[in-house]
Amino acid sequence: MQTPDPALLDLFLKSLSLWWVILPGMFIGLVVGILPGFSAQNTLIILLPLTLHMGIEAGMAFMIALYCTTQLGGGIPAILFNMPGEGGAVATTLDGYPMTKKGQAQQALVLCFAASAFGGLITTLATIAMLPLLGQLGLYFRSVEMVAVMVFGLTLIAAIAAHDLLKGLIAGFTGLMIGAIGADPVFGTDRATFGFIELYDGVPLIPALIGLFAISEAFVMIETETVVRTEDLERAKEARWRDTLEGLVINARYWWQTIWTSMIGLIIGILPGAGATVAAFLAYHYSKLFSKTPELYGTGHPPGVIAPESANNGVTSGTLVPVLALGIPGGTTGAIMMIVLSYHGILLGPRLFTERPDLAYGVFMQMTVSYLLMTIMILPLARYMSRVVWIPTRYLVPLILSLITVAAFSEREYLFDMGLALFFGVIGYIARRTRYEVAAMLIGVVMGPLFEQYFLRSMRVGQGDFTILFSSNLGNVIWVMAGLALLLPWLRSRRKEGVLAQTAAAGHES
Amino acid sequence: MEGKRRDSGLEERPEPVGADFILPVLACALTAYYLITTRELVWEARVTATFIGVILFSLSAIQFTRLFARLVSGRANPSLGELVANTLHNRQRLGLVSLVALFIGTIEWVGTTLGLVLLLIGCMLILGVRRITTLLAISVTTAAAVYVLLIYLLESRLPKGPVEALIAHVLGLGG
Repeated sequence: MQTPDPALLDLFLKSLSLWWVILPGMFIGLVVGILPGFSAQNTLIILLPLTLHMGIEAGMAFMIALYCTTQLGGGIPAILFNMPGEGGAVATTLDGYPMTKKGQAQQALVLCFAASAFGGLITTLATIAMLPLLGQLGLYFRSVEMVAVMVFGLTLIAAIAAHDLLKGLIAGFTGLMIGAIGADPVFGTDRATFGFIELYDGVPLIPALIGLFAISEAFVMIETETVVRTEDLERAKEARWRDTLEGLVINARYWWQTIWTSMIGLIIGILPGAGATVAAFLAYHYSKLFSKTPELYGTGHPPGVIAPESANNGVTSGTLVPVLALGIPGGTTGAIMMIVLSYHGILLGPRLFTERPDLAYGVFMQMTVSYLLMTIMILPLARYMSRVVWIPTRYLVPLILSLITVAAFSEREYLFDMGLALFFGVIGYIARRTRYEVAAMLIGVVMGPLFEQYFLRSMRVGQGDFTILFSSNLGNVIWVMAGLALLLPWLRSRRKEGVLAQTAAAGHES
Repeated sequence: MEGKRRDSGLEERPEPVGADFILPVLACALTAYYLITTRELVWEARVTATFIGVILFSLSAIQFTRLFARLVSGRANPSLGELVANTLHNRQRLGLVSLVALFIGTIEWVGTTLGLVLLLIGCMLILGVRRITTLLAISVTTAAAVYVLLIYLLESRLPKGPVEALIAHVLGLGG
C-alpha cells in the first residue's frame, strides 16, 4: 500500500479546520435529505457557482458534507412517516416505520443516525486504506454484469419488501415498464408518452417517489388518530435521553453488522449507477438471511434499520472511488465533483495518488471529519425530531399533502408533475391496499432508464443475441444469486408451512 | 385457525379479490400500449420494453390464473371489497384527492400562496378540524413559509396569483 504524504494526522487536522464549510453543508444536506422534492445532485448543481468560487479543499469539503448528510437525512421521514426522502432510504421504511408505530421513533432515529455515521466512517477509513485497489473494481463490471446486478437488485426488493413474491415481481417489472416510457436512447423517438410532451424525458423520479410513498401513505394515515398507535403514544411521550442512549447501545450490539453492511454499500457505490437504493436492499436482504430471527424483520427490528442505513452511507465513499482513481464518474454526484476538481486543474486518475496524494486522501479525510461532526451534531436531535409523530393526523395529513404537492413541482418546475404525483399517489394507494409492493414499483421506475442503457449496450455488443447476458462468469454468478434470492424465501416459507402443519398435526393428535 | 373455524361450524367468507386485478390489468394495458405504439420503431427502441413486457405478461398471467382458481373454487369473490366501500375514510380520501386535483387545476389562476391556504383549510375541514383559529393559523403560516422560502428566497417558478402580486406591490418587488 502506498504511504500517503503528508501524514494522515496533518490531513485530518487540515480537514477539521474546514468545519466552517462542513457545518453549513451538513445543515443543507439534512434539509435536502428530509424533503423528497430535493436531491443531493440537484442541490449540488444549484450551488455549483458557489462551490467553484471556494478553494478546492473548502469546495470539496462542502459538497462531501452535503452529500453524506443527505443520505442520513433521507432516513428521517422514512422512519417517522413511511416516506423516504431519498431512494436510498426506501429500505429503511421496512423496519423504521413499524418502530415509530410502536412508539420507538427516537430509538429508530438514533439507530439511523448512528448506523449512517459509523457505516460512513468505516467505509471512508477502508477506502483510505485501499483506494488504488478499489478503483480497479469498477472495471470488472461492464454492461452485461450491470444488467445482472439490476435484475438481482429488483428480485431482492421483490423478495424482501413484498409479502407475496409474485405481487412484488409484478410491481417491480411494472416499475421497469414505467421507467421505459420516454425517448429512446439511440434515436430520441418518443415511446408510450400518451401524447404528453412532459414525458418525453421519461417519468420524472421525484413525482413518482412523492406519489407512490408520501401521498399514498397520507391516504392510509387518515385512518388513525396519530402515526404512533394510540396504545403506544404515552410510551412515546415518555421518551427521555436514556432512549437515545438505548439506541446507541443497540447499535453497538450490532457493530459487526454495521461493518459488513457498510462494506456492501462501498462496493455497490463503486459500481456505476447501481447506487444507494440497491445497496440498502442488498444489505437488508443479507442481514435478514444471516439473522437468527428473520421473522422479526419488517416488524420494527433494529437490525432492519441499521443494515440499510449503514449501507446507503457506505455508498458515499464508493461513489468517489472511480472519480479519483480512474477519472470516471459513476453517477451524477461523482460527475459534479469531477467538474469542481477539473475546474481547479486537477488531473484525475491513477496519477493523482503520486502527484497530489494530499488531495486524493484529503477528500476521504474530509468525509471522515464530516461523519464525526455528524455524530456529535445530529444524534441529539433524534429526541426532538421524534416528537413530530405526536401531531394528530388531521393536521399532519393536510400539511403533508399540500407541501408534498408543491415539492413535486420543484425538480423540473412543471405543473404536470404535480398531477403526476397525485396519479402515482392513487396508484400507490391501490398498491398498498392490494399488497403490490410500492417500494418494488418505485425501484423499477428508478432503474428503468439505467436498465435500458445497459441492456441495449449488451444487445448491441451481442448483435441482438440474448445469450450475451450469460456470457460473463461474474455476470453468471450474479444471475445465480438473483435466482437464489427468489428461491430462498419460497423454500423458507415452504419449510415454515411444513413445520406449522407438523405442529398442528401433533396438537390434533394429542 | 381454519380448523378452529370448521370445528365451530363457522363458514369461511370468500375474500374479495377484485382489487387484486387492478394493477396487473393496468400493467398489461401499459405494456400492450407501449408495444403497439412502438411497433414501427427500430429494434433498439423496442428491445428493452419487449424483454420487460414478456416477463410482465407472464407474471400477470400466473397471477390471473391464481386469482381465477380462487374465484372458481369459491374461496374468493370478485368484488372490490373495502377499496370502494362507502366508509367515512373512503369518502375522506375521495374528498382529499378531489381537493388536491382542484388545487393543481386552478393554481395558475389562484396562485400558490392562496391556493395552499384554501387547500389546507379544505383538507382539515374534511378531516374534522372545525376551529377557525386553528384552520387559519396552520394554513396561513404554512403558505407564508412556502412563499418566503420557495418563491421569495429560491425564486421558484411556482405560479403567482393575486396574493403574490399584492405582496410584490406592497414591498415594491416588481413582480
